[in-house]
Amino acid sequence: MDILFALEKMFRYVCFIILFLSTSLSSQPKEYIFKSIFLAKFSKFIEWPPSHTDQNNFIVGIYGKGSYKSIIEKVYKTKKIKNKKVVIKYLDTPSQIVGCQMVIINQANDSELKSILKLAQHHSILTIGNSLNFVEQGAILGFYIAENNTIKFSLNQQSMKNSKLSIHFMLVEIANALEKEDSK
Amino acid sequence: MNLFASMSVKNKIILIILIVSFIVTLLSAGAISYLYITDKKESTVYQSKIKARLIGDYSIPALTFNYPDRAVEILKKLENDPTIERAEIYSTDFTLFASYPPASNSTITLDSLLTSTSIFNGDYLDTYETITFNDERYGYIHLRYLTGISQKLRQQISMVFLLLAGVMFVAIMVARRLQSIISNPLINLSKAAQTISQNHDYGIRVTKVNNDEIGELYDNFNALLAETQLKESERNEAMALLREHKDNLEQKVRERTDTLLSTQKELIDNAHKAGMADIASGALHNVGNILNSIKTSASLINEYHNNSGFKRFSQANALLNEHIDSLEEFILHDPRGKKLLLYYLEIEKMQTPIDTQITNHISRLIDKVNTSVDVIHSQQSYASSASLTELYNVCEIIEDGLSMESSSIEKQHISVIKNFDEIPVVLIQRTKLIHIFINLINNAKEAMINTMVKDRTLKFNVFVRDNSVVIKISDSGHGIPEEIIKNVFSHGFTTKKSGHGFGLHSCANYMTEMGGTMSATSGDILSGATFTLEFPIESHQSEV
Repeated sequence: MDILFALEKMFRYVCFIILFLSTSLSSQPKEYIFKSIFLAKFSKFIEWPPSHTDQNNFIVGIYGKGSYKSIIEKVYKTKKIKNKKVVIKYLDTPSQIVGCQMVIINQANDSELKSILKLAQHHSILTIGNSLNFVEQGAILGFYIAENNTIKFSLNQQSMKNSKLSIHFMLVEIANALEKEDSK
Repeated sequence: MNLFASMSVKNKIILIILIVSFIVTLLSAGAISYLYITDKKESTVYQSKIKARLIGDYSIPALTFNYPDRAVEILKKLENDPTIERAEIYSTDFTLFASYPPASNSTITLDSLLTSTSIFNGDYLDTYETITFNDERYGYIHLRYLTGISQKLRQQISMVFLLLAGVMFVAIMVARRLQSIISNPLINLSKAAQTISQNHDYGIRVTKVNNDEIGELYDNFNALLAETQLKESERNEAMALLREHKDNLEQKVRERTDTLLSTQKELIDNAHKAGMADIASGALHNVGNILNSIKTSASLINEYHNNSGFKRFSQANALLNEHIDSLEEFILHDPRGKKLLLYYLEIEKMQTPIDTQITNHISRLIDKVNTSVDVIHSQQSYASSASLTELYNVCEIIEDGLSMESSSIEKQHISVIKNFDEIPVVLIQRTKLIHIFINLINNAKEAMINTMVKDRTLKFNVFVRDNSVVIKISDSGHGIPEEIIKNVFSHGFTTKKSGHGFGLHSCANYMTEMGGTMSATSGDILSGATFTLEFPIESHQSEV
């Protein structure tokens, strides 16, 4: 039974990747695809306070313009996060982040960023920067491209501590390990 | 087993201690080794599972975000752990995600990965664990754990042998010292028993040291010795007494034999005297009867004499002498003369019958006197020939016996039947044989007198059979019961109120002395008894 289950899951992943690569996403940069997938993986190591979660949906906000939008929509069209339907919101003002569990910051000026981070901290929202700069300015997580062209992420432990999110040590540990690895 | 049985107690105790020590040590060491190995396996499995889960948990982010290098880096930390021989992390699609040592090839099977288990393989333990987080499967991990159990087992066996050697050495040393606690008292007891057996000295006692079973054995041994000593003392006294008696026994036997011989002689004499008294009594009885006849005859002669005519013969002769001178005138003229003449004429006529009677009685007197003389001579002849062995015809002895008892036989109206064949003479002692016949005749008379039988018959059959002269004396008396007849010849046995139980016994002895035999038979009640005497006919006698 376990073998069948594993084979089925593997088959589903393979089909998903083949479909993803061979159809509409085939022309998109792999970077965004992986970043989109990483969102679900991050959620496995993070627990949101019950008061800040939606019962039925997992709301992901995308702040700022960028090609990220269309890709992430397609990735989570059927895929769930925390066993909930993923709802993508496109945000134009910082105040709109309220109600989201996760906000991807594509673009934002300093004042917007401060407002976003402040609201995010207050409303237990996971902030993910599209670049390492956002992490340095206070976002909890942020992506970056390593020297071997692999997508890695960084974690701002201070922001993590300030937030009310419960982040598993393994995520912290690997973030630290990646950071150490890249600092060599 | 025979070898063990023949061993000394000392060696047995040492051997038993060694065997017990060996077995206990072996079992203990085996049990400890088994427990150690089992515990070692359990702890190894537990440790390997912990390590596998720990490594798996640390590898979850690497698997999640597909960072094999990170997983390799995590596995690389195992190089500090010498117990980990090999580690492999597999993704959920069963592809090798990371391994230690690096670039090692996978050799595991799909089933092993899917089954979280631990399998011992020689000195290695292969542990398979599923990597999960929040109930989601992230991959699989395989650890090859170096248990070192075989090496430990070898060490354990070596230690067991060393321990055994040490224990056996200690056991030997201890047993050699401790065995004396048990064996020495037994050895002392054995030596004491050996000394007693050799010297027969029952005064020896063993000194009790312990209050255990051996102490009880000592007490019982001493008690047994005391009892044996007492019995030995009693035995010695008895032996001394026996020796004393033995010394005097011969003298006593001799004295007793002399007494017995004297008594026997006395008894024989008494029997002889009794027999002779019987003979004498019979003779006197016969003589008495004869004397009665003589007395009768004499009285009759006297009566005849008194009644004869010779009473007035002197008166007649006196009257004749008075008239002798004038005899003619007296006869012719005196009436007394005529009567005197008639008296003389009638004398013969009157005296002749009386004379005849007197003559007859005188003849009878002479005959009876002669018979008395014969009876007395006969009695005297048996009395004088006490132990003279002569050749005789037994029929003559029977006749003598019957003659001696004739008056009583006649008086008791007993018919005597004699069937005498022609027989040769045999060697006998007349006195003893007449004694036997008188005894048997008297017994037969008593048996018939005491019985209400009308036909009182005493039968004598004499004949020759199987070169023997056989005398059968049968009566018609009450007979002898079967339970009594076997004892009739025993000394002291009698059925008579006034009997002494020596009559038939002496008869049998007499027969034996004369070389003959004597037996008794009896039929039914009132069918009488028969006594059989047999005398062997010697070759020279047969010729005679």
